[in-house]
Amino acid sequence: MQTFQLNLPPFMFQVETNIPLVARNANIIYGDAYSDEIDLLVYVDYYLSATYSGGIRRFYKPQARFLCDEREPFQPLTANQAYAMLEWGMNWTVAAHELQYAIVHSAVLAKDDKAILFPAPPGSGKSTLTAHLSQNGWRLLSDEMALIIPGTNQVIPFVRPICLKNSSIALAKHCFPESVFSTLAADTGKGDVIHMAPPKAAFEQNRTPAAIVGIVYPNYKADRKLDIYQLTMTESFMQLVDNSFNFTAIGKSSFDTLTSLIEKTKHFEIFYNDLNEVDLFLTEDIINVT
Amino acid sequence: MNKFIGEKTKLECKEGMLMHPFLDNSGLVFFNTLSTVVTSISVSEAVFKQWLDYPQRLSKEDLSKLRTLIDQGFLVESQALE
Repeated sequence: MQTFQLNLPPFMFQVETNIPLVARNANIIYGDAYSDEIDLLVYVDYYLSATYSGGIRRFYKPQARFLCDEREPFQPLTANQAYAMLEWGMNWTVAAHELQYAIVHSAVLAKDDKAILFPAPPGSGKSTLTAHLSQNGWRLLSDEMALIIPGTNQVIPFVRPICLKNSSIALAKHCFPESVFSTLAADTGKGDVIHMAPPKAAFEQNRTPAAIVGIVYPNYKADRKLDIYQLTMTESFMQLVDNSFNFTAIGKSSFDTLTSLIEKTKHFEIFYNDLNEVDLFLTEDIINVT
Repeated sequence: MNKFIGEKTKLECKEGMLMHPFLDNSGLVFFNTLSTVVTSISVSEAVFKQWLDYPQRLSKEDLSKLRTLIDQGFLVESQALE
């Protein structure tokens, strides 16, 4: 059994695994944030495990289980999906337990410490857009969740790899050959999945919050040039709540935070097939204007 | 006249419900912290106040929107003099 720690501000995870690809992938993806020298003095927020299921099945069709503090939120997956399961498990762990932030399912990228949220359901092209921007002058704060400090428009980085699926995988490997990628998790519920390591600069600034200045709801459409729709505050609020992980759990604080945030930011829904056009729009019409 | 709305009935936001009118006048949002229902209505705050004071004057469609807010526990009758 191997044990390693992941120092991913604002959280510290400790992971136990007997599946070699889990530790190997975590090591290459997280770099300096990964340590297999366990620091007994450090405060660990979450104890996780990704291990083989027991029983005879292990020998002919091995499966992996994810546990968070002895809770098992998912059904076991095939063992070759164990690293992806760990990443999803970390997402679940934070979304299910952290109540000191208003948490929105959203990518977060920043320029000059001005952040834009990209809340979107699966299939919207969010992660491909995130990968592109993070390699082209934008600071990656998260591919998966925005941790908003209640009562402010400040978002805390939670730097993690970018989860790419299906046709995005080849595209990312072609466009960003210097980047580090995990092994492929084939045939998951989301299709084929791979994780792309965040740029070093993102880790270097992983304790620096950014001020949210825009919220953009992306929709990738292969046959559509850039179409931009300005949303009303009411429309944007309702979409943001739909993408919130803990809105109802936090209650009034979350309501006040999101309504206030909506009034301090710009809101757009975009349809696009050209990532460079999106980059230009974001920079000129949201970052530079604010 | 809707049979549930008397001639002199007025409505008000129920105590404990959270309501926020947005600065761009695009609408109001509501949050019931007990049932955790979140909803919105796309009228300005000024128009919404008129709706609460004179629900009798509303079209069937607008009255239906208010009825939904009542059913969701956001609004209550503040005056029923029938």
